[in-house]
Amino acid sequence: MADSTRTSTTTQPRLRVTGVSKHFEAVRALHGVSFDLAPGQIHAMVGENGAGKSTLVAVITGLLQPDAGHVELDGRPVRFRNPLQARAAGIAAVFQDPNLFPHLSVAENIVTGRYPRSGPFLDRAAMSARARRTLEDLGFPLDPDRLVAGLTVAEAQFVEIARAVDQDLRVLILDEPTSALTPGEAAKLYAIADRLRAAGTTVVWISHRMEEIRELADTITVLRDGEHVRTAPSAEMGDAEMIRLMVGRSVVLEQVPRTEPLGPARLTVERLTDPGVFEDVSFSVAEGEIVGVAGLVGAGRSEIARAIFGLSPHLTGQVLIDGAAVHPRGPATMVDHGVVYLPEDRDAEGVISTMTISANIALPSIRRLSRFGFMRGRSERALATRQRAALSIKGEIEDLVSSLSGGNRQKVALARWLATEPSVLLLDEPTHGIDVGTKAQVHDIMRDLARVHRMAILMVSSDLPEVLAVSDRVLVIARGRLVADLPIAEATSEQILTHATGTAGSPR
Amino acid sequence: MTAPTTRATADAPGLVARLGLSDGAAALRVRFMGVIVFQVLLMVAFTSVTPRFLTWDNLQSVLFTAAILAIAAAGQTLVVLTGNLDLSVGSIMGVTAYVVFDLAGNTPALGPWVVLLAVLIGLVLGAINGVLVTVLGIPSIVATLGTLSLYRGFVSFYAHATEVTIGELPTWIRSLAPTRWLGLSSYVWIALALVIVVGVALRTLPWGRRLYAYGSNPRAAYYYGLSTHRIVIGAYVGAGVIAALVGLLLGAQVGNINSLLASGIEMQVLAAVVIGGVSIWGGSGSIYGAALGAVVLATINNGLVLLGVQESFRLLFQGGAIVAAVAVDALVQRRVLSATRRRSVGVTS
Repeated sequence: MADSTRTSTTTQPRLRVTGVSKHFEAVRALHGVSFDLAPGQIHAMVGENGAGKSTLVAVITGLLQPDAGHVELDGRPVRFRNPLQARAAGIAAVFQDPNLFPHLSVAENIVTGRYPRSGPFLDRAAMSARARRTLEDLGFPLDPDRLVAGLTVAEAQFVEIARAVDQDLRVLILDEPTSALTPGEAAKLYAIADRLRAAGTTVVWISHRMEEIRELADTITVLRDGEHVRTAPSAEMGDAEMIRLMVGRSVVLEQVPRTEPLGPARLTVERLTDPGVFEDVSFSVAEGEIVGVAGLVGAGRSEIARAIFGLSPHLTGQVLIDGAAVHPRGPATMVDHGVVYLPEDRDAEGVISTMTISANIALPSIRRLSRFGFMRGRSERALATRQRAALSIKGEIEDLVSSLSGGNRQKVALARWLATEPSVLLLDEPTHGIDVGTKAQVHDIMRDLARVHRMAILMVSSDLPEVLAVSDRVLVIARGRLVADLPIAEATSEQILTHATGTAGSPR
Repeated sequence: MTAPTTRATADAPGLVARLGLSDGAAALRVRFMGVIVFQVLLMVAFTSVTPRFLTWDNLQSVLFTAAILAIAAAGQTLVVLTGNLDLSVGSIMGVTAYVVFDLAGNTPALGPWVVLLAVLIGLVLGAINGVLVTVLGIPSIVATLGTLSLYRGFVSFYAHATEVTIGELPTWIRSLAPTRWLGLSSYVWIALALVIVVGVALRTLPWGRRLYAYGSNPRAAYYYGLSTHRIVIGAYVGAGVIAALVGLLLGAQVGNINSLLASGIEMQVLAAVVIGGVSIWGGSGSIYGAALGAVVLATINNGLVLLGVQESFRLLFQGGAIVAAVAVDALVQRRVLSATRRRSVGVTS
């Protein structure tokens, strides 16, 4: 835990960023960014994707070197050549996706590089004890001898934080820390942030979530297009103002009432069970309907969607497509039956980033696009051009997908399925890590697909405002069981959380 | 929102930017051009050092050496594109050459049908490799290291320490190697034809596209609903069949075939593939590049022999070329993938 006696008595900022600029060849990522962070504060950093938040973190932690400007820590100019040096100086960053050694234990991960020794040997007992103490101090008891490989995302994240606070910590940067956490786990993280603040650590909290920024942040910094827009005390910047500064326009997630009628059931699952993951799940999704699947992370929501797509070998129960039973043997089988799945992990599973936009879009439709077994470039380009226009994808169809932003990559991932004219769309966190503007666009696309193109959509999402804005019906999964099936008119965040956590009252 | 995309930076662009390597697609193109430039540099260098290099006879001999390697490299490329390796090509060549020519010698009635037999052998041996790698999930380097020995063991067992002598070979194939069409060895034309056929197939058949897709991102390919096992087995079968055909050509050229024919050639083949810009990580590169890689290797070997340098220098040179090629590939790979982060900064929605 950070040492609390160091709390500064002067008004000297803990971290001062002065005129930091960073270019990547022709692209400007940061331009003259300057701001101060006071010690013992939680500081929210907000901005759309591509606003420069990640680049700024990389500059502060020594992952990247700035082209101009400098960073001061407690009044001393610092220029770290790598994150290790930054960590030694008391600056640590924890990213969305934990970077841990899966084959080592929790304790080994926490004390990495600072192993307690007895003589030349590792002192395993001391290591375990130290890790246990750190975890308990954080209010997150976890067996330090467990392997990291078996941890949930949340647990892994806490291990990362424990690793950061295991030494004297002055600045902790959390990049989208709660994006994969359940409300309960997030609450624990809030408590940790509070504790670190009380101990004099400056916490930089990067987030897309308004509620948590409101709840936690003392000050808010807005970045846009690589430039610093404003830093102000949280009380002086309202939600609407913050969003306006971020996007230059106001975006709200709103329901759009459905006027089109629902059709017959397209996807029906009966007594779907994957032992140890989810059990006895039955529901159906009608033509033209969007069904949101809410619940805590790890409750089995994604797994249900993946199982329907044929990614679960131990599945029992029935899957019916348009009333006919289908055995979900694998993605190829399900795609043939018009069932497609958009995975949460876009880059690893959703797109083939080293191929062009057009090749990505055409890939699942190749057979249809071929004549006499040969591909026809013209039909392929026509298809890609059509989809690109329909989803307003930025970039030319011959651009590599790797050159696109997250939101546009997600659109490519979606476009390639739409080109196969599916009947059932399974979406797993469709707007995870996507900026507010593109998010609303994706929602509009989803509504259009359901209502106009008559698809049945099952959407797994941890973003409650999104679930409430897009769904016609909300299924709540808790501990692998379907615990509630709420019509949208009756669904509220509180109600969903109540069902998801299995508690009577409000979880927070 | 305005996107500050293409504003030029004030500071001088780095070497990478000037070469046009900053864009992923361009980086891949530059990689291919790099092989051509390297070949030209090699030729200029050898020409300036020894006058005997740039003669019609010598160039013909370079191409003849390159021909067999280029065909074999085309087969290997199919597998390398999927992110796997096939170390058993030499053994497949050996098995096919021995078994087919042995049968052809015993049963002259078979005539040219023996080619079909070779295809069949290549198909079966390649399929075995493919099944080991996909269904059983054995890492390809281990699986094909195993079959390298297995297939070679089979041919030793079959051969019983005897040789198929040149007299047993059917005359039509025996006469193929010394035949010249339009001034070039028939092997060069066969290699050219095969390389183009495989290249066109990769480009125009859906299977080719799937191969590249799988190599770029196997998991995403599976999630795209592609039959990933079928893709990889197909690549191994293709490589097996091509290796079998090369086995016939090599056997016909060598004449007296023992059970050790083509052993160790897999390293030369892999070297050609890698120098030719087929990414060892899978998903990028072309058959033409691999063929060019074979020409580069043949040129290096030929030039150094002309210069009369020792074998050890030849190895050093070849090793250097391989390491340099893979280093460039690593750079290209990084460019392609890192284009992600840099561009996403500018292209917001």
